[in-house]
Amino acid sequence: MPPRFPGLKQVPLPGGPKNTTYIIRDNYKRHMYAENEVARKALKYLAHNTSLPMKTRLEAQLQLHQMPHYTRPTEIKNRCIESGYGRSVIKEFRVCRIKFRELALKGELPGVRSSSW
Amino acid sequence: MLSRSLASLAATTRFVGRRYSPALRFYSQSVDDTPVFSEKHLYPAANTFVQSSTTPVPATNRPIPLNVALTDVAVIRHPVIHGDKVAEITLASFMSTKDLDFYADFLLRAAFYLKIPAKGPTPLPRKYKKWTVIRSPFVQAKSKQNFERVTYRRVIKLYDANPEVVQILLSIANKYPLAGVGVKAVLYTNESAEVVDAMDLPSDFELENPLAINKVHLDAADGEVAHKVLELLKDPRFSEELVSEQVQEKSAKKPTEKPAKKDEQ
Repeated sequence: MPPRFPGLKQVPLPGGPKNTTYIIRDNYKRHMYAENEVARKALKYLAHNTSLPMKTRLEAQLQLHQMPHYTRPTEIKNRCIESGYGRSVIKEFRVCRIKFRELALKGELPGVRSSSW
Repeated sequence: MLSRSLASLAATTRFVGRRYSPALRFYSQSVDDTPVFSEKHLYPAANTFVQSSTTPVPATNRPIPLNVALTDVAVIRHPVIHGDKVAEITLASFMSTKDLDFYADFLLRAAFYLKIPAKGPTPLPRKYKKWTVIRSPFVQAKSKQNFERVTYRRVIKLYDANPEVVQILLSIANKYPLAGVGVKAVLYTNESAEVVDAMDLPSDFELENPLAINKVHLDAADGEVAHKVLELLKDPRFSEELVSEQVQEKSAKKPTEKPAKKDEQ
């Protein structure tokens, strides 16, 4: 069986405070997508272009399908850069709700303060 | 005594001159009151001495530079003559309007010394961004906490200046940033209507490649993708004629579905 994530150890690690398995995997997928982004988009353009002959479009679609799963953009998931948590990540600060609350109360997020009305 | 009499004399002559001199009366009717800001009014003539500092302050016995002394006065502005908006500088801060106004004042003074007509600072509506998060790291999801961030903004509009001068002002803002104040500049330029006409015409490249891709794709930010598309189209696999057998071969390569459980049994 081929490895699920070939060359996982060769990819440089992200520089966050904590590297969990899921963060390393996600980082790997981001690198793989970046490498294959041009090819993917070109194939997708050919496959979706209705002015091209059917043969060309089919060939492009098949080649796109043969690319490995880790080159897909949909595999990428935003994770908390502090804790690696994958749910309720606040996009603006890239941290999960738990770390967001901690940091905001410490005053480490610029301008964020407790609000009441 | 002498000075007082001279002053009164001057006052009377001025009064007489205004009221009774027919030449002056004629002149006052035809005079153009619109402000003239030719070079001789705005700048000193060449090779003339310009005072760059005030007289020495008795306490320190040192003069104060003129531009420092001018900070006591409100910002001086050059009048907008043509009304061509050249740039909009937006300042934004999360914490206070104090820094914002200080920095806006600084930029307006810099604009004055660069002879850029400027308007502002105009306050823009505050931006409120709110987050509601669960208070606890685990369960108790009913108990929440609200956080907010308020963004205060000011706008400075620049008029009638050359793009090079605007760039100098922006480089000043770049060189002397104020902590906690963000600067965003939107620059405006005017183009002739011919540019729009040229955009409608198909280029030579588009006439040569009518189907696959056009020049806009190549020039765009994803020009790399367009070049890759052209490269792929050179491959005979993409251009051969479609044969039904080939389709079957290709589709056979796809991972086939697992046989249903009923068949196994």
